[in-house]
Amino acid sequence: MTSERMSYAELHARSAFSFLRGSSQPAELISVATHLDLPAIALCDRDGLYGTPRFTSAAAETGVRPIVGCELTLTDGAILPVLVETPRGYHNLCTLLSRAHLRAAKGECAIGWEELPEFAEGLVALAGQSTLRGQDAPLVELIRTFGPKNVFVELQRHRLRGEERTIRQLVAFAEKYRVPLLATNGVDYATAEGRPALDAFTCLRHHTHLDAAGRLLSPNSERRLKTAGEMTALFHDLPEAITNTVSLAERLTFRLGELGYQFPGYETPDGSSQESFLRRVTYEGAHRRYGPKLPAKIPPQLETELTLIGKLGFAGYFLIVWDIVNFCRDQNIMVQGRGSAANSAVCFCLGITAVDAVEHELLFERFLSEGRKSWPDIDLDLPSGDRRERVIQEVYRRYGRWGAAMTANVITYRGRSAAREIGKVLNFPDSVTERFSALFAHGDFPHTLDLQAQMAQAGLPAAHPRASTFATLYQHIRGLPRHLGQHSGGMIICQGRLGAIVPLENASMPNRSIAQWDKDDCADLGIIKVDLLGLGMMSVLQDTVELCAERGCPVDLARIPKDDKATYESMCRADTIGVFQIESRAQMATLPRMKPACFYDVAIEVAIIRPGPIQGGLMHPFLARRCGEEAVSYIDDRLEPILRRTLGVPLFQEQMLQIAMVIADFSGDEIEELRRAVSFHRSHERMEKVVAKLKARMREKGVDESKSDQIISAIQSFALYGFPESHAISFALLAYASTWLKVHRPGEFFAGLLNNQPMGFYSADTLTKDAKRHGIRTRPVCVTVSDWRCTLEDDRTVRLGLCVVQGWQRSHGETMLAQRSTRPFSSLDDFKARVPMPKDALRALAEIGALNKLSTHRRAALWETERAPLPADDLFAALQVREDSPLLPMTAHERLTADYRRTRMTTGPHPMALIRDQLPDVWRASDLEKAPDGTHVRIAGAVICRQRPGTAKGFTFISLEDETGVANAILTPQIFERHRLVTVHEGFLSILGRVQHRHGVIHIKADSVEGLACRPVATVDSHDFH
Amino acid sequence: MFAAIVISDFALQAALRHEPELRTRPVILLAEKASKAPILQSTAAARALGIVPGLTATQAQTRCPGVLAKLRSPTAERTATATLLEAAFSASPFVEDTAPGVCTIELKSTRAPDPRELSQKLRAHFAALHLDAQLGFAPTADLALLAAQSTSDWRAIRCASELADLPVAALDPSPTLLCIFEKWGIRTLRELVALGRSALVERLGAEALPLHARATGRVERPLRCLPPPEIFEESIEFEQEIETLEPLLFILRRFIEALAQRLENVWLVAAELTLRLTLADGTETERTFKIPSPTSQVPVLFGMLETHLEKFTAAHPIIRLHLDATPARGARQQFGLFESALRDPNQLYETLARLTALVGDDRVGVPILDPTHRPDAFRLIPANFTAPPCAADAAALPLGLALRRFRPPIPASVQMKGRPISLQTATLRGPITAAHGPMLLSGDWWEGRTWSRAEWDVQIEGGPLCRIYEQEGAWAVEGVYD
Repeated sequence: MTSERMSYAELHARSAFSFLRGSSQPAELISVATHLDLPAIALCDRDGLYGTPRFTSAAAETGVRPIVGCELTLTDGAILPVLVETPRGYHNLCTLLSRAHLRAAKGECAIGWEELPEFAEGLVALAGQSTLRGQDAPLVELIRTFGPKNVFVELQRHRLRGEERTIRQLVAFAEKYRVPLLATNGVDYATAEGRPALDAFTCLRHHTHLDAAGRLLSPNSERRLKTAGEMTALFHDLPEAITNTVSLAERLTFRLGELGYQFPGYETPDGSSQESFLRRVTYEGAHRRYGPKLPAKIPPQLETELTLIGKLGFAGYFLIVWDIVNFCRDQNIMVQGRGSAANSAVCFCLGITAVDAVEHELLFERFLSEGRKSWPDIDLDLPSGDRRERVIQEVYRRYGRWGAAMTANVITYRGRSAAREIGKVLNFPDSVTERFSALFAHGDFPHTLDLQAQMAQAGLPAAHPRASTFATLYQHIRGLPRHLGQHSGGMIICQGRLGAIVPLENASMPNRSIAQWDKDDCADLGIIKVDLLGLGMMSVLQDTVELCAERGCPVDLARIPKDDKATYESMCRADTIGVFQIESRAQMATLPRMKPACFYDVAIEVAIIRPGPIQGGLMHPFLARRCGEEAVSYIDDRLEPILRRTLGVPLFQEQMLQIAMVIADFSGDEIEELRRAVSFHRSHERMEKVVAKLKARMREKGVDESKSDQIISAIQSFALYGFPESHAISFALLAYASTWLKVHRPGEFFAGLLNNQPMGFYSADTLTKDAKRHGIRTRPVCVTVSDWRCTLEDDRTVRLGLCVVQGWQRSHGETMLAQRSTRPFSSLDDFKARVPMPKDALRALAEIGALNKLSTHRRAALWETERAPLPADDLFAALQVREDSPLLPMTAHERLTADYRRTRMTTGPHPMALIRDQLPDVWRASDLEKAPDGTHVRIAGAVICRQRPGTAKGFTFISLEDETGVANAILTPQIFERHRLVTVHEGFLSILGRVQHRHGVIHIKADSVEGLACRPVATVDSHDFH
Repeated sequence: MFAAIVISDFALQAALRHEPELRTRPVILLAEKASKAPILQSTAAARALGIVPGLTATQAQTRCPGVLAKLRSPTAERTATATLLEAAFSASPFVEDTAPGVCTIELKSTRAPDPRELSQKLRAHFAALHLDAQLGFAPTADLALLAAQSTSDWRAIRCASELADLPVAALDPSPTLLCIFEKWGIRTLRELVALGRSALVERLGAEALPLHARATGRVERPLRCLPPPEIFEESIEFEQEIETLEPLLFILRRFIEALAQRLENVWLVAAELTLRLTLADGTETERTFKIPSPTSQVPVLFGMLETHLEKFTAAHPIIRLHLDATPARGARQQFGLFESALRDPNQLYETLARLTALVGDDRVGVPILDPTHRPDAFRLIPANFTAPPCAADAAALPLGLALRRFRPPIPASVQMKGRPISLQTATLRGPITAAHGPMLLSGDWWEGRTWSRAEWDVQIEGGPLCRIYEQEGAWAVEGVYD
């Protein structure tokens, strides 16, 4: 047999993106197909094109041609695989899928046979056993729908008894209706090793386990990719079925690059071109920013940017984003651009960003360069919650349900979910999987505990007969897609019908639809994304500013002084609980060392506590240089202008790009390649490629090997979430503004924080305690004065709103406020009569003391709330004598318990204060500064934060709060493993350890950890392992 | 006078009855097969470590890594209830099964027993059965129950005021009321009663009335008495140890005759016989005989025991014999016109018993196909003469030629040349003229029992059409096609 005759293309393969119907990543299919020397392979995932972009991109640099296809579920249960031949076919397929998904609930999709004719053009149908199911009528229907040349009878042989009967019948149908045969292998996994994972998925799909699945499981491992030789041997009696695969593959010329996507154009009000309109509004904005006379540096920069924007055809995009920003401003919604857009002076002038790129000498090329093939990234930060939703819905309104969608977020099997599902499949007792989940609730790190040790801790010893299967399945399934979520804020929009470019489907959230691709897929295929990100802090800032204005002391965040001494002093003290970004444990530990003294220092502080700089070993040299403990030096003298601002240590992505330009003579295109590699986390290959180029170029230019290694190491670390400088500056604006408000408008700021919970790093309870330490009193909820939201009674007193009461519905609050606005409540009976609500809601108010003003104490109110209300027209009601409550007032401990139960916080004493006398040997947080370095101390308190960052080599950081403040403890990996369960699950801990004073920061290095025996309340909220 | 017996933490005590050494260790009881179930009950040792009902098992483990979790066992609870009632009936015929782990007795006799004496007797009885019981004596049933709950031993009271410090939870209010009482800070009966009846009813509705009445001891209710159990059992303690079969069978025949007579007297038949033999070393051996067609015929019942005992051997002589018959109503069954019943189910049962004695438990039963791709995989289930033996998910019947399987398959040696070309077994040999295959099957990869085989259908020259297969390098003939 000649090599030509031996050729075979696999035209029916499913990947793990068929969700429980395939067990290989698309890239693995391509890699194995390359290895097997297949000329082409078609990905036909079930009811979607979820994996197609990854499949296509994986195939880009191989000899394998990726063919786009899909298995369609029909309403009668038949499965119809279709392959895309032309761009028209692709649009038809997307439209068909979008239509079927958008009319069904999430996760469901069914297409009627009667819908197929409208969308058949450009598609090829494969009629196999799953479509025909022993009948020839569906074949006749398919021929009528797709045309005789576009229907193939699909044959599969998996070496199973009985399949020959099916083959004979299908061949007879093909002969009868003169339809060509096509051999496929109905691939479910790339290699036979994928079969166990597929069997596991089958169990999950049928909600059963391997012991009970029986004949649902695969009978053998034949649904793998096979060579042309193997397939030819299988179909030796039907050679045309093999040759047809190659000829059909050659016919299917559609490539995913030919999407026909167009970003919507902006309709200028005066009919001028988009470019000239953009120029006009940019200069108008520039004059608003800088005044009538523009600084000398501005016009040339604007001209450079506008010329490039015009040349690249992005003017419409800028105008559309500008339009969204204008909508936000009109609607009084705070908005701020972030990301690399802040490198642009045009964005600053348009009001999209708040960072003056010229003033900060930001690198425009990081945002836009001539070599750039993809769209620039403009991310908008919006106040989270309703206000952001209004903006999202406005985009849907403008572009229609078929014109806009959120990008997807592919949720993959990760440690806990993989272990739980495999546990179910292997029929392990719930206790094992629950213990695994409890122990490794927030993931774990292989360098501290390998999988086998994790399993043993969960009660599955290595000798267990299924332990090795667990481990194998765990490794295989981990990282495979589990389901589709929605991206936090990425929206894609399209000129015309987006649903014909990428299949759309309904999200779980009402009024939201999502595309089947994630943001990287969209970026790869040139689909533009606008990120409408919700930031809790934006909401806080807006609320705070509004509250300040209401109280007659307005604040303009754009005009607050950037050199406020008190603000920087607060940062230097690490007094940053509640403020943006610099409130985390790690940030607070760095601030006293960093001692920010100007705005740029804040930007550095924001950027430095990131996995990139930490793993790249850049944080400590920078801090040492800043403290004068180490001399400032430069990797190369040529880099001094670039790295001067950061004391010779590269901290920002822009610096990386500039270094490459200076030291390796990287061109605009190459810089773009480097930028994409650095910001594209998914592809190690891409990174390796560009690093190799950089290294070679440096060698050519005679750069010292050690210097070259330093540069490469720094660049590689930036692939792990390094910040662009512009982004750091945008965030620093928020960090600075929030700190300024905390210092100068603490009352309004705390009220704003409490109104936007949950958010940030700390619970409402911790924030209240922090407010107290700043002299801000928090008063409890009271029905006679509280609003729905938390309000300010005076500069130093926050009144809690009804929104903090757990389970209290807004409608109850509104009724109550409406009634109170007509006239105050005269008594508890009056309150009960005028504000009808479920008894439990009333009890909640009584329990937390919200009815105390209408009664004598909490229990008296509880006593009265239980009494049935008297009819309004009861003539004798006034004659009834009210007896005093026989109940005793609650004790302090009871009040505390009631507060935590109903509001998860207390305005009363800290829980630890109530048990302080039982803890004679425990140091209070505020006393620790008096303890000499190395002293053995015991600390105890409510756990407000547990962290185990991936960059900390298994070290765990615990913050314990008591009535005097917060004490911080560090647990070595060994101590953590010894006390893992206690550390992870107990709400109150007692930790014994040694005091460490380092650079003004106090830590307790733990020797032992135990649960606090005398717990004052059941539990408090903590920020765990985020 | 009324007496109440309370087994506190009944479900936990029942679950630990046969492992009494665990009662002093930290043990928690979880609801049966419930995921993330809260702890239902815990031992005193566990409670001392802060492991209280309501926490989850994971939380319990954080407080005591060695805590032992037990699942609730309905069977153990049933047995413990029977034990409780049995003890109660020994004190009085008027017994109420009040709640799980609680029973109330009315002591009507003019010679009412001394509470101390009765308590000691019953508590000793329960202690021997590894149950801790609390007893209360009072003029009313409800007060007796409260009295029992107020002590860890026994307590006799005359009026409700003696129980004023008892927690309100002892009144068994609904969870909602209990929660309200907790919020009110009402912890004892005294505090509850002090609130006043009308104030309580005004706030808590009619539900508060019985609670108040019970707290003040004003409820006098008749017991919902259980009928005394009808027990059909005979036992004898031999004065001289029994070492041979004849005297044992002699006594057994008399037992059977007596039991049959007693059963017939009340129009019942025996559905099950339980034979318990106590050996000289104190060990017991027990065997239950299910009677497929319940009867009171002496020869049938005796025959079953005789068959079993003929094969019975023991290391020690027998010192005690106990026979227990489970009564049932006589069978009433009408067969369809074309339906035939087993002529004598008891005879068949006896035959099966003999076969089981000969070949072992695991080799007698009805074969059913396992739902797996593994060819001819089956398991045996106990014979059930009323239900069809075929499992619904058995493999679909194959179309085409019928295969006569060799069980076990016949080992063969096969020569291959791309396909099998000749076959040789002890009875079958010759060149293969046609072969179809291989059909590949594999499975059970998850527990070290992986199997994989390649099947061929082959035509032996001048011989039959066979199914052969290769597994782990060895060939075998699985069967021949008709």
